[in-house]
Amino acid sequence: MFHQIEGLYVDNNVSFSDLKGVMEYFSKEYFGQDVKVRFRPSYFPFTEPSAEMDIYWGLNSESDYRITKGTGWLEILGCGMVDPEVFKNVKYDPSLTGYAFGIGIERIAMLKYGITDIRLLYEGDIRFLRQF
Amino acid sequence: MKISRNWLSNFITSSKSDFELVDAFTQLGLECTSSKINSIDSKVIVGKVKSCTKHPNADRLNLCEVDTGSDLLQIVCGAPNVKENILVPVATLGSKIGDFEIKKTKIRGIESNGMICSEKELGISDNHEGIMVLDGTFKIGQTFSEALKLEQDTIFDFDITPNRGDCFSHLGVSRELAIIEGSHINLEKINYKAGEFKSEDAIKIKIENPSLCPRYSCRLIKNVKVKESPQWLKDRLNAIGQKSINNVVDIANYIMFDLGQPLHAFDYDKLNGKTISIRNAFENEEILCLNNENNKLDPEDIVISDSNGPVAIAGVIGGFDSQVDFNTKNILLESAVFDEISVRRTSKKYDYAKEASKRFERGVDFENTLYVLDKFTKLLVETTGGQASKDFVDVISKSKDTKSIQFDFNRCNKFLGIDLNQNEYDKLFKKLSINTKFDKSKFLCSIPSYRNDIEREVDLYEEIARVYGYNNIPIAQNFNNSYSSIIDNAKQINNDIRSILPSKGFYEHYSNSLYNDKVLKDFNSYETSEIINESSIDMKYMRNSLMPGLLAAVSFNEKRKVNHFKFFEIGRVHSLLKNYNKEEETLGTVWYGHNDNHWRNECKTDIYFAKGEILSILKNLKINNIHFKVNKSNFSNINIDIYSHKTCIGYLRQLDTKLSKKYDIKAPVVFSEISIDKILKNRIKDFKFKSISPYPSVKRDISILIKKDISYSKIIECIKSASDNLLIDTNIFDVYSGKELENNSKSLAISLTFMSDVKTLVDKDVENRVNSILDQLKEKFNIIQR
Repeated sequence: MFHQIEGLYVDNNVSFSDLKGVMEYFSKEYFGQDVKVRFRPSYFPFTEPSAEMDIYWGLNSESDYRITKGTGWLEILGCGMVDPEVFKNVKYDPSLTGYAFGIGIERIAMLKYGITDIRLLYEGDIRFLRQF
Repeated sequence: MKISRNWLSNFITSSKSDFELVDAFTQLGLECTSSKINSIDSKVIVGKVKSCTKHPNADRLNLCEVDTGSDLLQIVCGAPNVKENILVPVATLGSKIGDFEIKKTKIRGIESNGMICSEKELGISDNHEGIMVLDGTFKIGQTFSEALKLEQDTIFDFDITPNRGDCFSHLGVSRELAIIEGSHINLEKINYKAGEFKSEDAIKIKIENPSLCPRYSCRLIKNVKVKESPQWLKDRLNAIGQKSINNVVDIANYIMFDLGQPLHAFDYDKLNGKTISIRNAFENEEILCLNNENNKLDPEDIVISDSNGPVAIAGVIGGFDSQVDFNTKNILLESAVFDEISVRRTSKKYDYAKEASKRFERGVDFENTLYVLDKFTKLLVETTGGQASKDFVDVISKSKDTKSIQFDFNRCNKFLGIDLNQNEYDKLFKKLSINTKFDKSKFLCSIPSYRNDIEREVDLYEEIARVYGYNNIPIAQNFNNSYSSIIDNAKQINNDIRSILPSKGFYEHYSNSLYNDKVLKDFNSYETSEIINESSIDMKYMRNSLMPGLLAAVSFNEKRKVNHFKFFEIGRVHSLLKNYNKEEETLGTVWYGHNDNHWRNECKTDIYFAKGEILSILKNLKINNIHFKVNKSNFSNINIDIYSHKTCIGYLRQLDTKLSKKYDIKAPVVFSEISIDKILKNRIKDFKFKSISPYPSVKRDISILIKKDISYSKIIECIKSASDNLLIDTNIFDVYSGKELENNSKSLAISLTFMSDVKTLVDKDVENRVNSILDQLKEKFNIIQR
């Protein structure tokens, strides 16, 4: 089980650059102003171009090596420009553009609070809940 | 998918480090990691075991003296095959084996100055049965990796996205590396001597359904010698995790990993009729496959068939009867393009997610089938001494036109938020090997035949973006589009609950919304929807109550000795009404245990306490006209239904012993479920404050004797109806039933508060009202005033 926040924005002249801006803004608000982000190409059937956003997590411990596969970068969310096929299916004006993103809530919560086991979020352990 | 760096260098070389390449590939959309193979530490050297005696303090360990040329090392070794006078690889002090550094250590009291290694420890193979014993060609003191003549390599492990079928080979990855390097790849020119005979005399190809197989190329190669593969070929395949089988199969595999086109080799002499047809399978047709399994086919499957029946399932697996074995002399080699969707369906059905079908499913290069055959032939002729036919048989049933896509670079600039000119776009297209013509402010782009994924203009935007670099696209700093935040009432009440309940000491819980059938009838009798494709039997049904999840959390905490807590959960519960699945947003609450370990007094959790909390929560949420009714229930001995106006909005219950046992909880539990959807309707939307009277209130107490079975709520109802709105509050402050009273009576003491908005009340005003209240109570319940 996990939960996901989905975002969708459609308007005239929405660009990939706007998407980057919003995602970076979110990351800074959530992880702190010093966070370093990068975008890299990926694939989702409903966005084109598609991207995944990583934040720089660092390589300070053995667990950092493990969770970042030795790269220091950690995947946070998937996003992209809405594929024109999606607009076609819902009969939107083809001149519109937009972006979409999805963020795993548990994932970013675990990163923010240093939670190592996702099960802690579902067990209802009072000793865990009390800390928040 | 594993890619060898040495192998890539057949196409293109790079001066970048492994780490830099991993980063560059990843930024280009090919996520990967890298690892080194055959990089044995230079401090691992060849040594000779001079003596080997039992360890004095351990049965299974031996004490060895190892001569490394310069030293005589004392080493403790646990391997069963260690003995005197053998040559072994020795990791001397300071060498690294994997992530582990060899240090001087004491094992059961005896000093050990190194480690004698197994093949697995050195990363040479998976063999870990004992230490590696070397033959006489090794010399004492030699650096082991030099003596072995192992080729060091880097293996990149790629996670290729499903749209990039063209990257499933060293050639494909080389093309991407060429983008990174800004250079071009070298495709080997194929040269070898072919024979005089012709394939077209030996085999006829019939494609019955062009959409299943747009292209089928093949070639006959005679007089091959099937045997073990040469070492270089074994090493290449081994490096990317593939097992060696025989030279023919290995070369076919090698070519697939090299160029991305899966090949299949038939034993030509085992084919019947010398005509091959590519067709749909017949109903109930069967084939014995290479893995010795007999499969029943259906008409959705594509088969390669000779005059007797199927000899292979196209793109998925070969047939047993036509396979190449060590007696095979003549080979028919197939290089074809099959329908992607059919191959996917078939491979999924038979569960053969193999390297070949993986590539067909994602689309192979239509224009490449002959080059692939040629390269295979060359390798086969070189390694097996066979002779290739003069010609190819190449049947194109459905030709593929070069795709041309119009590309408006101004639109692309706007779409991506960049500002590149025509020249810059031209350069990016060159990197992608996309040929362009420029006409009336638009590019006309010809897409390379291997890029099956590029079909629309927007696909080219992505290509431009990734080659330009996602991270070079500017980050918008201001968002001048207007928007408003929309929170509907349904969401707002959840926010309110999440602020009110924690302030009363509740913790929020999230539990799984899918249950097994064992808990479905514990809290209500609603039928609920079943999941068709459940992932486990415990997640077969949509929940019809929040309680099983909450009680599981209660039990979890009880076992961890937390003795007093309260939970709530907001979630949807389901009920199946005449084939319609009703979802209802619900608030579940649980009170658990006693805080009895407090210096002042015990805080008891019981149904009365919980009822008070429920009332206060609902008041905080501005829910109108709340009242409670004790009702019999099949689900608990103590059950109170909660009402707002005339609607039953939920219940409050005590967990009875039967369910306590079932959920493995010992201490008392009170719980409640309230329908958020229902209370939403009775929520006061525009709450306004009531002005406060400037006049004092007057209090009167009454004491009555009344029958036990009459509930307090009925009494209050009666009191209220007997008075007017000057009665502003009632409170019960004493309840007594004892021996002195009649058997079925109880004594109640109730305080009544009166107040007026317009004047100070005098005795008479209050007396009148109290009297009429008492009269009414006498009349209705036959009370005795005390």
